[in-house]
Amino acid sequence: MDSAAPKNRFTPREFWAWLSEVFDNYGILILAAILVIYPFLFDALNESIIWLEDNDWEETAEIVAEFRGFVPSTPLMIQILIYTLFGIAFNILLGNTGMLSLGHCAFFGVGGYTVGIMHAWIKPGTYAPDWMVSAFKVLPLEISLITCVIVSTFVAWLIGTICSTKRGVYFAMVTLSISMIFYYSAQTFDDLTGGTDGLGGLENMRLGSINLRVGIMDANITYYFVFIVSVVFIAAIWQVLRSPFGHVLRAVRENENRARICGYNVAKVRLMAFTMSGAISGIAGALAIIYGETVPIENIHFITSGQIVIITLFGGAGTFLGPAVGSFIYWYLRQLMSVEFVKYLAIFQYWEAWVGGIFVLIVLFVPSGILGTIRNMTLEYREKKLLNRKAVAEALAKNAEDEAATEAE
Amino acid sequence: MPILETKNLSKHFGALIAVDGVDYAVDSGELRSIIGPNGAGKTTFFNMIAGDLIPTSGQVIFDGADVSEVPAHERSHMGIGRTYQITNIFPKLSVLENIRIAAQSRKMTFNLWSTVPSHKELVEKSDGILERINLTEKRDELAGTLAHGEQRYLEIGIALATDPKLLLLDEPTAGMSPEETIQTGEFIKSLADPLTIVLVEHDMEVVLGISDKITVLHNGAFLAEGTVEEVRANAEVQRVYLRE
Amino acid sequence: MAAGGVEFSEFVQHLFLGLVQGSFWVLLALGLSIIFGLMGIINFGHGAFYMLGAYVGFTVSDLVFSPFLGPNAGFIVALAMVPVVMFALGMVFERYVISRIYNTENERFSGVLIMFGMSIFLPDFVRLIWGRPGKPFNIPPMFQFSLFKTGTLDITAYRSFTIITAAILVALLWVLIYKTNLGMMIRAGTNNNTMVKVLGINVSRIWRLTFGLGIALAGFSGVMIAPLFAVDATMGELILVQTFIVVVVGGMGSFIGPVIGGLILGQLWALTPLVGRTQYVVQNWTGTVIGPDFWEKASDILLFIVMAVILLLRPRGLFGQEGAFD
Repeated sequence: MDSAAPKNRFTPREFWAWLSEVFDNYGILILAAILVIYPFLFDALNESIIWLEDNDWEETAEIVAEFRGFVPSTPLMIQILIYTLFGIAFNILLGNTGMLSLGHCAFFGVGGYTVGIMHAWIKPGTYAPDWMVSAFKVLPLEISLITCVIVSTFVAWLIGTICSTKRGVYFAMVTLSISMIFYYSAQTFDDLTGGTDGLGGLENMRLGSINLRVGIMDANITYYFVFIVSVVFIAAIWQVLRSPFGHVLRAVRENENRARICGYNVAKVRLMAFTMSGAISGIAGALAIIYGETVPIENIHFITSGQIVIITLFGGAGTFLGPAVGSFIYWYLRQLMSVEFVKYLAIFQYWEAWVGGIFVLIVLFVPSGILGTIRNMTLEYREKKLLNRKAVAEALAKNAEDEAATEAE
Repeated sequence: MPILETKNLSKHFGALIAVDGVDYAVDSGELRSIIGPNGAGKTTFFNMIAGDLIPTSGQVIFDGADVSEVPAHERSHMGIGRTYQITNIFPKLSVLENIRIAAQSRKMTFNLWSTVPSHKELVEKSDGILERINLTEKRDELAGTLAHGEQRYLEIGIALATDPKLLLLDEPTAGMSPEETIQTGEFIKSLADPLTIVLVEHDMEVVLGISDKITVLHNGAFLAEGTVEEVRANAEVQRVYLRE
Repeated sequence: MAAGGVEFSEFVQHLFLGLVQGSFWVLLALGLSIIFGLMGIINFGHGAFYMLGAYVGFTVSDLVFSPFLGPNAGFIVALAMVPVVMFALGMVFERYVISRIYNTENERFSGVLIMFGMSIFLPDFVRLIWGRPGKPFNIPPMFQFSLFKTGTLDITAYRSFTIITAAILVALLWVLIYKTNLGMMIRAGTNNNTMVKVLGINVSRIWRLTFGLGIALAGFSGVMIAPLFAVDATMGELILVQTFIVVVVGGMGSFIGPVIGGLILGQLWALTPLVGRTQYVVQNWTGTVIGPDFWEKASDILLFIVMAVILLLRPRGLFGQEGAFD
């Protein structure tokens, strides 16, 4: 019986599994709590440096300042939140429906350009008709955001319809090609979009009467706006994925032919998923321009599609919060490389090469991503626990039998 | 009135004629078998009835309506359910989910706001089917981890969950042990009436044991049809099978 | 078409330029289709390898051989060596990277994603090695003359040379695919992957050869186009997407599809700028005349529109086989 008893010591593997179990149960709460107070934490760090300097603790202040370089700043967190939303929206397709779209830069970019163009051009002395200009002295963000939702939904529906006859890798190719039409259009119609320089001059973005961007350094209001919008849409996606429709998506991913024979209109299901994913990606794209006050043309280039595929795969395409982990690691690493590491090694300024290289390595060696790998470990660990328990129970039963046998003798 | 009828049904793949002008009719509640040597076009014939393939010429008439060009998912809603020769299930979903996803297709597709467990009738229906196919104990296991025979039963369960009027079974006993085969034969017989069943089968014992009527296809064309005794006595059939 | 303000010689000039552009598309699209036909992997890194070929060509020609042999011979050596180097590179890449994903879960997605990763990696890698600014790459002196010149019509020797070379290569590829054993296997793979396995052919070696061949074609196109355009790290991007368009329009899984598709789209691309100078006046919704400026820039966008229309009306492309790759 002793030999069958479970060992109480954790191996490192099991420790991680245990940690992920805790994360499974309380992770979202812990994460949300940190995110809610994050700007204050970062501000506190800044203020502590000032305080230390004021009180003649110069050396300590320097050390803390050095440390601050490795803490993600609030603007970086804004970026991470936006790409989390973008990644989770993208994962409706990749992780849940099994569709690889390489054209999501189109939605991200179109979302940003819609808000940007409305903000930049609905002003006196521009293309906009007079009644529009007189109606909105400064265009409130809620109007342009709603327009952005409508536009990106339509674009997603259109691209989805055009690509709907394609499957698998062919679908990836067609979505990539179609999405680039927007890039070259943005380049061509540069008087409207700013061309390769990006669309600048988007100051004074207002939500109702709240100015979303006060001063140059203060990112807090933008942060909270982005946070709330992201959380609302992530929650919506979460509900969709656990709804009956979400189950249909996974059925289509697992076995398209069987889903069709079960009576599902697979083409329609795929189009619906694509449209939903594209529309929410458009919103993420709109959020992405608020802090920077520009729409960089890179947003609509297929590098952006690449980024979101990397983020999703790295975090784990089969998991819900995988893109959040992926987004954090991606942007944090990129920031570290281009600001901190590059001080020591010039090679780190070529971050696209790093991204591409790491991407290939992920596909080769960690295909299920970080959260996916951890989840697999958890399952293994649980199974082991279950087996152990079974073994104990069997051993006990056998003992009892043996005892009964001896007694009978 | 027959529930299923094909008129001069043909399918060509380039120069290859897989099914060649087959006329066929099944009455409601019957249990019918289709036999024939390999390459006789049995599976292609099924594929055209279920909608996986669109016929080159001819008609499929189901329940009085011409469905020759109707997409497969709509035929499923009209009441045609099928299984495949090579097991075709959702291997990475649990056994219960496999059945439930099929049952759900009768109720809703684009329902975004509720959760699946809140639809009690789905769960009850799935549990009922799991009991019929004897997989209640394994409801939470991944379908891909089941034994081969269990997967075959699960596939029949998936088809049953879509409330079919006509059930097409493509070699349901393929790869089963002799005992399993006999059991499966009895199980299929228990499903028949009110359900109409058409069966493609290699195992002659099953076919001879349970079928009301047997149809023989050869080289894509109709060869013979009749009760077990009639087909057995048919000289043509004997020639084809003996030569093999 | 050649009406109004467009002279006939200008029209012919544009036809000629379209033919040059089209032949490059044909070469790239054929490489792409061969790799896809056999391995089921869409090579998203095709443009990047094309770009790499141009840089390798630059190094071979300008840095290594030209100082000793003169620019003419240097260029010829580059033309000969780049395909060999790229072929070897492609084989090595297949052996040590792509072969790892065979028979894994999601084999096809992984292949596509690896090549997509390469299309992000290689441009920056090239910047790291060769520096950020592009490289000048001159037309070798022996090609610096015109075969025919009148008014605006200028049939230059080098452009003619590229067309002829491309035509020869396409002919060679046709022979390879329809007349050799390797080609038979490639076609067999195109139609039925398992058949090749059943026949007991050493599949992995054929895949390696094919991949190397596709990459070599891409690299060769890169070095051949280098004297016409600037050699730059981003030169593979636009042409990758254009190659995709050619393949979609022509239809995958056929030999004739990419050839005809590339030539038609090349003409369309080259002739669009002329529209602005014809007698026909096109207005936009506010009534403003759309000027020549717009049509100069519209070529690239028009290709996308053609692709979208083809996808909607004829999803398998002009010459694609039914249901082959959907």
